[in-house]
Amino acid sequence: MNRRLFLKNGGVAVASLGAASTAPAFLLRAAAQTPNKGRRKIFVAIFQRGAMDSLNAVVPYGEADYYSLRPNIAVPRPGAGQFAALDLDGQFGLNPALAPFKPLWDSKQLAIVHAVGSPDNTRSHFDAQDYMEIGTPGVKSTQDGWLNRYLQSKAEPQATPFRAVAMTNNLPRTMQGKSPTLAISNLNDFGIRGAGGQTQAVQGGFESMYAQAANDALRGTGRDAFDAVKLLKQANPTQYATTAGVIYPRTQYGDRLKQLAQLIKSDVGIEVAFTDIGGWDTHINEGAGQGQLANRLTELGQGIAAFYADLKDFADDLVVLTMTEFGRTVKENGNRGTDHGHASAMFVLGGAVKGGQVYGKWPGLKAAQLHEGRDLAVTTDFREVFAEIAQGHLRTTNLTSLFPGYQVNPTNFKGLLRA
Amino acid sequence: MYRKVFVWTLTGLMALSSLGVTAQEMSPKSKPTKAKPVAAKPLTEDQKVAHLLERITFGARLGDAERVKKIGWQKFLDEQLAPEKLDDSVTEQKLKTIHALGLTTEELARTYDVPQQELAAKLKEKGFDITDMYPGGNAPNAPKPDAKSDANQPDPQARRREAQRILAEMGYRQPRELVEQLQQSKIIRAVYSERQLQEVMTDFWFNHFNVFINKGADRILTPAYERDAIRAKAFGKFSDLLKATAESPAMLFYLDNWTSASPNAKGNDQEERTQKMIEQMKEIRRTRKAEGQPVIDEAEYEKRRTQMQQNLDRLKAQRRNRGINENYAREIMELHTLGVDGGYTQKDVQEVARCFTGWTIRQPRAGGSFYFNAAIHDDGEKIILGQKIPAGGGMQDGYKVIEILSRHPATAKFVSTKLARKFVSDNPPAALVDKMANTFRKTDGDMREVLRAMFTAPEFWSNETYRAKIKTPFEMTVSAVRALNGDTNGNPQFHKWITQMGEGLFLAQPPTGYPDTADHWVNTGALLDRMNFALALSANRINGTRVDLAKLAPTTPNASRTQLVDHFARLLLHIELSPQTRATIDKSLNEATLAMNNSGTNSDAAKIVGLLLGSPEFQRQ
Repeated sequence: MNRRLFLKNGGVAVASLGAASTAPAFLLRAAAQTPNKGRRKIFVAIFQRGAMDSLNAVVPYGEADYYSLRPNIAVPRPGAGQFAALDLDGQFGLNPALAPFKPLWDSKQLAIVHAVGSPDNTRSHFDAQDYMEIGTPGVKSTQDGWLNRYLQSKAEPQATPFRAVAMTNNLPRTMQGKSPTLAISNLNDFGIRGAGGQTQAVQGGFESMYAQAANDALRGTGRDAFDAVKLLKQANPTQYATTAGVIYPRTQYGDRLKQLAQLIKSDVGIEVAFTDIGGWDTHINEGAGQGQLANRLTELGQGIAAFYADLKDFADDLVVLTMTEFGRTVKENGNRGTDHGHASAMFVLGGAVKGGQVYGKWPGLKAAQLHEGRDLAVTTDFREVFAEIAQGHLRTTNLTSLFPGYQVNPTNFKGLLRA
Repeated sequence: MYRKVFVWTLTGLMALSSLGVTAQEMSPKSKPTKAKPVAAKPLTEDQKVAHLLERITFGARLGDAERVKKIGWQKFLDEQLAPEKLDDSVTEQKLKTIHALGLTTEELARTYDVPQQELAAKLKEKGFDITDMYPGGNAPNAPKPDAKSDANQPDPQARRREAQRILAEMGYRQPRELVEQLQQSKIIRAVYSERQLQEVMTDFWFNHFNVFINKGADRILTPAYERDAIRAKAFGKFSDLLKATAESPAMLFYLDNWTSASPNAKGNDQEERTQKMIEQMKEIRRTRKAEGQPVIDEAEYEKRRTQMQQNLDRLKAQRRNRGINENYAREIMELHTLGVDGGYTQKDVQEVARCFTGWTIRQPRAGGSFYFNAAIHDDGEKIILGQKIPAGGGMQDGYKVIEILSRHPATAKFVSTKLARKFVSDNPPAALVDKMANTFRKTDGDMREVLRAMFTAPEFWSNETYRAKIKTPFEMTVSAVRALNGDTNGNPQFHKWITQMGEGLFLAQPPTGYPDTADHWVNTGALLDRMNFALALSANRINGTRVDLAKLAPTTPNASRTQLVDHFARLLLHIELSPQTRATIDKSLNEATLAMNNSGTNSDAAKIVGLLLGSPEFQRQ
């Protein structure tokens, strides 16, 4: 029976069965770190599925047209009451539901990219999400996601099975591809389960059967799978309490961020992580400083702020990026909501982020400035933001392989990150 | 005591797993192909039967092997290739309980995908507002309801539930339910249908001509697509399949061809009609004035004329924005026919796209049908793969493309390769593919003949092929139920496992569909899911799915555990234990019997079966 714990590919025997109960955390940590490049960088992508109304999240309160086009759902100018926008820079303000972001903005750890989006015109949620995840707008048959291509572009001989983790039920498109990735919906469910008191015996039975199988994909993957289960058990992420004073939203999204923080603290080798949050398709009764959209923003903002505070020791190595498939119409519709539009906004958070700034050329909201006469125009291709993080934070040297068919030009980067 | 016994049994199972090695050692697949050219040991009759059942069905049920052995595998294959002659009333009876299957596409649209405006109108009749469905939107600058009604304001959540109840009473259902019912029907057919190869081929062709059910109107369009364009044509001519999918609203919507319009086209019918109406109004006003009759209300006239002009401008703008869309043109060549290396160019993609301009759908969200809109068709001359399609062909341009592509030799090869990859091995032998492609060309793409050529080729029956494919998640879950003669209603609790392993039914997003090779399905998370599914199924922990292990137990009253493991191994893995393995197990197990003959709920028995279903051997086919 193979009782040794292996780090994937590395063949580094980190612990023998005898020592398993006293987890040699320092050994795990040493093995999980990339040798020559100092501490491992961590990138967390959060997908807001359904298309966030960026104009009510990061409010262009300096634009008169914003108020004339949204008579019922505009967020009031800063100072105009309890539910007014929180001023950022004299031109833009945060939806008051994003108040947890304000201190991060003030301490220059949070940046915003506005009018960012896809060069493709589709207003289909499905197509637009797909394009954003595979990183090839307009080309549907791309097999792998751009995050997976990043993993492929930078081989990590010391990678653990937890190098890339999606805290989701199913593996998202952006993580699919040749490089191994994991979807974990709940840390407590990872492994063999449901065999009651005999779970260990059953797991051992499976493990032996796979170890003795013919030498093909089943045997290799079987070994990886049980290594991952044991590594996680030994690292025991749930032992890490949430930092004092930090409160995550009590929702699935909040729980997943909390578990992701535990995974990161337990040092199992996470480099890329992903999760998502739905409910942004506000066609009806969107609300303004409070209401439907504000409720979603509260959950989004509280979750990210809690996650970041929880991981304050990792802040320098961490970048969190939000993304959403497109924005929404500038003009409100007949149901006090907004319909599918074009450009939206992204939040970028991290110790190395040059925060306190709204990045991207602002296209304006006058009729002639709108995309197809109705939507906020895209002035930043989302791939520029992805590429800047992949290069500046994750230190990939092969940007062309990340975005096939697209010429990434680093001189166009916004300068989101400190050198 | 049971626990102790169980651990002992496990040891036996571990020894048993070594026979995976035995089976594979005979197969040159694990070694490079330069292995001895000497013909490998031919398959035994029992192996042949097991092999055919594994590949052309969703796994053998109890008794299937005996039956096929009795009638001969050739006859079984013939039966499966002529599904229309097989009685399938049991399955049909089970499917009758699925509401959505009995509805037309229009009815599906009216039930499961009703436009918000209509729901709003219906709610209004009942004294509700559509915004009641979305509580929490009380914007501070929205008009405040007056104070007196404020006091009587019911709880918004209660009002929302009431609005939902009213809509349900009127027969409106959630879109999600439609998707679940279609998934359910696919699971039921796979588990129960006598027409197994037809279902396997339906799965294959749907995946080949993939559409994603959650892309907008595809939700209501997919049931008819699977039924009429795929299952009904599964054994026909390839060109008929290609034509049926090209004309299907589901594909037109999924790959956007329905929006594809020639930028040079003169405009659509609606545009022309609007233009005509404006001119008629002008004319009436002019003649009335000339004849000295009292003129119509000038203000009213101006209001209506402006309205119409605005409509016309909007239509024109829409048309300009639509333009040509190359998605379908690209995929019909890359994925449906020639293959990515099939010798077409970007220029061919553009030309094919021009041919298919005007192939569109009437009101897709209302469940509308395919139609050709000549007004947005590009009627110029086109050249496809060197063949000229003269100007003025109209709708025939598209049919011409279908003909050229389905007769192209690259298509015969590409489709044959995909079939061989599915049914024979991840890397099918070139000689076999050539044989199939030849049949394809000789029979003008008669799929029944191409399949027969594959299933009767020596390559299909070779030792290299035997148990060399890994089941997909759908195949694995369904085959486990079939192996145990279990029952399932195919509900979301069952489907959840398939989704978790990565093969959610009708949920493949890219037009490529799901890959058909082991490397895609065998990954850390999915492999653990397979084991967990096996344990959950055998312990009856999947709501809506039942297995009765007591019925499967050996009939000998005091079976030893050796006999028990032997018995289940034969039953589920179709494997006869080798003498060495038997000796190992005999050594590991004592002779005490497991007291399971009297009880179907014996949890140790469930775990033995769970281990076998989650074993590497059961993942193979």
